[in-house]
Amino acid sequence: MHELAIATELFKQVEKIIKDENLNRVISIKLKTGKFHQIVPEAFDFAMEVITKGTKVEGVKMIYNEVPITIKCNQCHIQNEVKDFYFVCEKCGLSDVEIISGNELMFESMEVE
Amino acid sequence: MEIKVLENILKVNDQIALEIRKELKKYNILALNMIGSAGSGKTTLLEQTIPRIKDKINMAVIEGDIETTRDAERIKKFGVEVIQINTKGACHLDAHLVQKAIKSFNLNKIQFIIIENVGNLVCPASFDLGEDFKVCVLSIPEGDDKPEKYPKIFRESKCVVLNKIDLLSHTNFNRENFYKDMKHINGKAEIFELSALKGDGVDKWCDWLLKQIKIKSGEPK
Repeated sequence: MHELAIATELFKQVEKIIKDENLNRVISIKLKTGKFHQIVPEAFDFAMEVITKGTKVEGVKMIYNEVPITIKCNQCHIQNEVKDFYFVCEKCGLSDVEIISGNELMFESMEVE
Repeated sequence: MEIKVLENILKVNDQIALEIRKELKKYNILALNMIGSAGSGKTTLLEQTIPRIKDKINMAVIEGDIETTRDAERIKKFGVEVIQINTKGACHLDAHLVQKAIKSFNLNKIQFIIIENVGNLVCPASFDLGEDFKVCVLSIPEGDDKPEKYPKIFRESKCVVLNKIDLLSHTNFNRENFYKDMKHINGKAEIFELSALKGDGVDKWCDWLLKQIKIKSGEPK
């Protein structure tokens, strides 16, 4: 359900660009979504459909590029990908780790007319 | 035509959160963002916490709810400054709403702000409010599977309060599973078991809070 809250923030940015650039229509929007945010594309699509009704963004195609979660161990300094939310270093087994990717919520680009 | 944007989707919120953080740093005020499901006992925990600490430090409370001023009225009775934010349908507080509330406080006179978020384990986890850290309140009847189901908030919280511990024997909550899951989701989190209704375990939580406030107030400005 947080898809609606995030989509609303995205739409504000899109509307500003439409106004600033005097655009007619937005065809597609590319996002980079870190897995940590647990964005469900279908839910995000639905949120966008509701929010954009009657605007220049209506009917937009959303393109999602999901980024896996990677952590770095503060003790052994090795990096490993996080599966099933195991924020634990695969070498030493400790939790003294930092997330280095997978926390992105990036509005990358949009295709416009 | 393609337009490159390369912006954080939540950039407006995050910029304001940064402003809040800078402003609070000027006064060395500790701010806590309390997140938990509706009915997990966040306001009840505040009702136990405030009388235990309010003579030691000056504090203020921001109450977030979709509607009503009921929570703010519960807090007002303790004589601390409180502001109610009604989000009118939004399932989370955002930095803009919190900044407006903070502007109405006399920051020279307070050392601690508790922000009680809207009851929800999902959306509040995405919105930075400029706090020093998040506290997640989970209550026993919600079940031991919640950290695995909502890993973002349990991962990002510095501390987890396991509330309604007095109900443990009446539910199928498996404490061992809860700790096992917390270990891999957020092995560094402080965990406090308590009953906000009865007061058991609240002193230990308050001691920890006071320690955090002291650390923040002693930091260089």
